[in-house]
Amino acid sequence: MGDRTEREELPGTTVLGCSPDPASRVRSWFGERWAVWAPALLLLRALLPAWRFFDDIEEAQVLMYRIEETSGKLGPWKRCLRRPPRTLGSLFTNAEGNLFLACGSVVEQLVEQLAEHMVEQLAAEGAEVCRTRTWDLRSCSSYKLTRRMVQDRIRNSHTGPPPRYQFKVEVRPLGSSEKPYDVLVSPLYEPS
Amino acid sequence: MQAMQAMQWCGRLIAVAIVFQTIELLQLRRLTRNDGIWAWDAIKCDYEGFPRPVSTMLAWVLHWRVYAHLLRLRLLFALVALWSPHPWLWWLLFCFCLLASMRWRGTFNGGSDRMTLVVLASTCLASSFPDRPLVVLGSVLHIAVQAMLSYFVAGVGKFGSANWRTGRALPRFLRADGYDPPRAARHLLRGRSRAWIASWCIIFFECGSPLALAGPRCCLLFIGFAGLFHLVIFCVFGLNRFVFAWAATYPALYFASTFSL
Repeated sequence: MGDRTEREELPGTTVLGCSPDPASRVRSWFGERWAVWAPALLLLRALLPAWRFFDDIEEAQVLMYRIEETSGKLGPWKRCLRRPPRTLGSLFTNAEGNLFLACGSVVEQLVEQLAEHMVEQLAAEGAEVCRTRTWDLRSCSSYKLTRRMVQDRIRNSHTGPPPRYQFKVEVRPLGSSEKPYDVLVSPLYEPS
Repeated sequence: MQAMQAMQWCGRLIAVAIVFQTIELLQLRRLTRNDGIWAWDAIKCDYEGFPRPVSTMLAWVLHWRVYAHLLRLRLLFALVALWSPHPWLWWLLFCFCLLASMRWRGTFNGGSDRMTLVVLASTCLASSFPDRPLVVLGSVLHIAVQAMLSYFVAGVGKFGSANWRTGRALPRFLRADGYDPPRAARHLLRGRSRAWIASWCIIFFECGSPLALAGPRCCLLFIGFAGLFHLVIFCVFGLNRFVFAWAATYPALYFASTFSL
């Protein structure tokens, strides 16, 4: 499976023309700079106390993966992240439990980034402001980390030669009877 | 209790929290290797926003080999700080904790990293100027106010949410896959009225946190409830780091409740 197929299947890769309007150019320049600065500033967020915990929750994001079976068909979707059992000792050190939470946060960030980009894209189209930057979800660290989580999971749970795999993020609404839906489905990846 | 005494207790308790946090990170250091989930290659694009010299320095420090040594040093310094606190130890611990948070893309466990840095920053200041009573007092009160705000802001946020007021939010958190609470907790909050009562208990407790500053008795009562609250949060959601990071703020909270101008 080549790179071409990946481009076809993955949302969020946009290339648009350049705007002749100077104001739009300035906005675009700041937008691009901000896109570079924002992740760096987020790294310093531990310095900024933000005491909002468990405010509200509408939906849960679940990372799923599937692998190619020996018959050549793709197997069923399986949950990627599993919480390790909690013991009394976990009160003092809970490395695997906290890793599980950190991985969950990465998946949430990935969905947020995707949603932000969609909103930006719609706003840019609405205001007829053209973008010169190519945005590729696969270049985001949250996407790379999510892919690595899946690879790690397959490596630890699968015996035999490494299979081709695919992953998706499923959103499960918690407050309504709405059915779960996929917000991101990756291309089929070659074994790594 | 004197301000300096309260500060020393906060320092010791945050050193204990850092010891546990560092052991956890050391247990996970394999993930930061080149073939691990959190390999530098996967996250380095986030650091491009810093000026070139800073990002180059971070790339060197946060590479898995150096990062592992940094964690070992952090553990050693936290243990030393328990017995022989020295200003430069606190400053180094502050830097190491900030760097470790950055290695995990901002925070490893959200609020606990933030509270650890709040307590460490105040400890750094107070220990650097021990003969300046105003600096020591300001540092202790800063921890106390942040501790109180951490409950109060969370409580006001919940009070503002219709889902919390109607008791719908809590069962949703229990159903969310990110936490996977024990079956007993889910069973306990199964009924709508139970969830409603539990939700309002949490809202009242968190919004009532300013009362901790009303006097030492109120404060001790609040600390007792807060300790229980964090233990329940650990049992239900597995958030162990909050227990120790917040425990480190209680001496300052107690001092603030006895403080009068």
